Amino acid sequence: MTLAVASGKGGTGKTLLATSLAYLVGMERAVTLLDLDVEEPNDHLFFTIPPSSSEVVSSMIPRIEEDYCTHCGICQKVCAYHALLVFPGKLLLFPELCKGCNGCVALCPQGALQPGSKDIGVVEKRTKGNLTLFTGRLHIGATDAPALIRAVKARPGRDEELVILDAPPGTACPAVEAVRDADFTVLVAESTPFGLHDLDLMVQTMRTIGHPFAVVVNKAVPDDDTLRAYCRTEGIDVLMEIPYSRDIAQVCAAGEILPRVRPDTIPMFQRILDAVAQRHQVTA
Amino acid sequence: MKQIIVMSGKGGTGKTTITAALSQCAGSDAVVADCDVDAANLHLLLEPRIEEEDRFFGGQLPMIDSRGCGMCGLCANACAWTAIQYRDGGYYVDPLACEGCGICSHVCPEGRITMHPRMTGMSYVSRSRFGQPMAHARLSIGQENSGKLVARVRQRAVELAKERAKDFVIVDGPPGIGCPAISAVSGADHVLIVTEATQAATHDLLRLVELLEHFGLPASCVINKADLDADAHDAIEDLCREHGIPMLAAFPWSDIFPASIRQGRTLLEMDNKNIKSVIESLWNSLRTNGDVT
Repeated sequence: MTLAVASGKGGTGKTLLATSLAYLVGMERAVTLLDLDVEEPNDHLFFTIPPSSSEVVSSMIPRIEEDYCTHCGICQKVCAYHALLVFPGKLLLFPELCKGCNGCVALCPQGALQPGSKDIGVVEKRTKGNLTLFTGRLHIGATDAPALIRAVKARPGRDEELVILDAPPGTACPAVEAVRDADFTVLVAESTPFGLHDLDLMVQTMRTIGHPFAVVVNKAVPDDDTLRAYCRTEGIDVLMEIPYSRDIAQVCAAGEILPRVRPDTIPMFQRILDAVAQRHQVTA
Repeated sequence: MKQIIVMSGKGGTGKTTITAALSQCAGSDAVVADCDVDAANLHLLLEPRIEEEDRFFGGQLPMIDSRGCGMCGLCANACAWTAIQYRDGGYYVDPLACEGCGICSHVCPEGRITMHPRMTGMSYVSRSRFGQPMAHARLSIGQENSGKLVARVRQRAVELAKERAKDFVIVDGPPGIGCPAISAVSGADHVLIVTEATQAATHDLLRLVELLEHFGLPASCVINKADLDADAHDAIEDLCREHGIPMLAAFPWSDIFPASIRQGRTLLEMDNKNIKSVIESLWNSLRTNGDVT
């Protein structure tokens, strides 16, 4: 199965949960972790494994064959992103605006636009014991995060027993791209009004996609019931509450995996895994 | 007029909480903007009263007229995003996958696919509870093109500052370094980075600094949760020194940050003398740093 860990707001504990679950599963059986927060990937910081490979990912941009171009202007007309400009005797391409839809290549009557490529990032692979980690890393200045996310998602084999996705923050296209074909999604929400506001946006997003999900509350404080009340009203399962704690924050700040240095937290993460497995069986 | 964009690389470092407090310091000299359009939170602290709202169209979406469809499948084949799918005897567009390129409409031999403006969010001009003009937005659920909406909010904030002769535009930026982040910082006068003393934030800070250097943007730094990890703290100070980024302020780990969010108050309103004086001196550095033009 594919389990996504997502959140609207950043810094709620996605990476904490994704790395902890991957570590826990990896103690017993094979698990693949995909870091889809390609703008700011962090999972590799928690597993000190050197990358065994780093593969460049590119997306399509057109290559202009000057000799065949008649400057007819069709490509400029069909490009929805204004990445092509035709002047008398000159065709200009703005690679940073191109999204790689291939339309100009398909529609140029002269064949003057051919498929070319631009590098947008890399996918790094790390393996140790049962764990395989794929990290997407967007090049500085590149904008096409969803394309790199798609490339990372395509890395694991089809018959993997468990793939855990660490999604990017937000509720826009990169977050949607990360979770849209997961079997089950855990939304990590922090117990503040910011956390509640962004959880609500993510809940609406998940309902639009129509996939099953549940919530893990992080930084929970005993006297704040707002997230629990919200989930009760909305009929959303809360799988676990991770308490607000400077100790836990300190473990994560040092780049340590919580269940590794604090074995007393293992049952907490195990309960999340059990709850997800149970819900997945019910919905499958 | 000086545009100050507050960025963080990593999410959850305290960017919005600090932006709200700086906005209060700036008072009537500033226009405030929230460019974190897909998870906007600044309004929860500044409680803006909406004065203008506009629908924002950030692209196009195809409509397939099934009545004249010859079922050739050319549209689905041409789509680079696999956003056109065949099911139950017809072709359908998946709006979550569609990037609005419109190639389907060009390749349809029957001319049965037309492109229509796609409403991707709402854009607002409001007045914050400190009386300032505030530009903000709300991306519709599951929409793309947040970079365009970010650009729209910034443009609106700059217009407001010009119209009302304000010296500053203070912008709460999005996390990350991709499309929305680039849209938020391009052409800024100054970027204030809010980082935190964690290994993850240190890693993310370097990528943000590289992005800002790529675009030649001047920056300064604030370190939050400064006492959480000593190694991370030292690494951040070294990184900033190497890249010529002044360290303007440090906040120790404090329950006052989440408490301020819970109470809907800014850090200045939390009756903590230390935090108040750090914020005020931070605003003073930002205000006087370089010429206001």
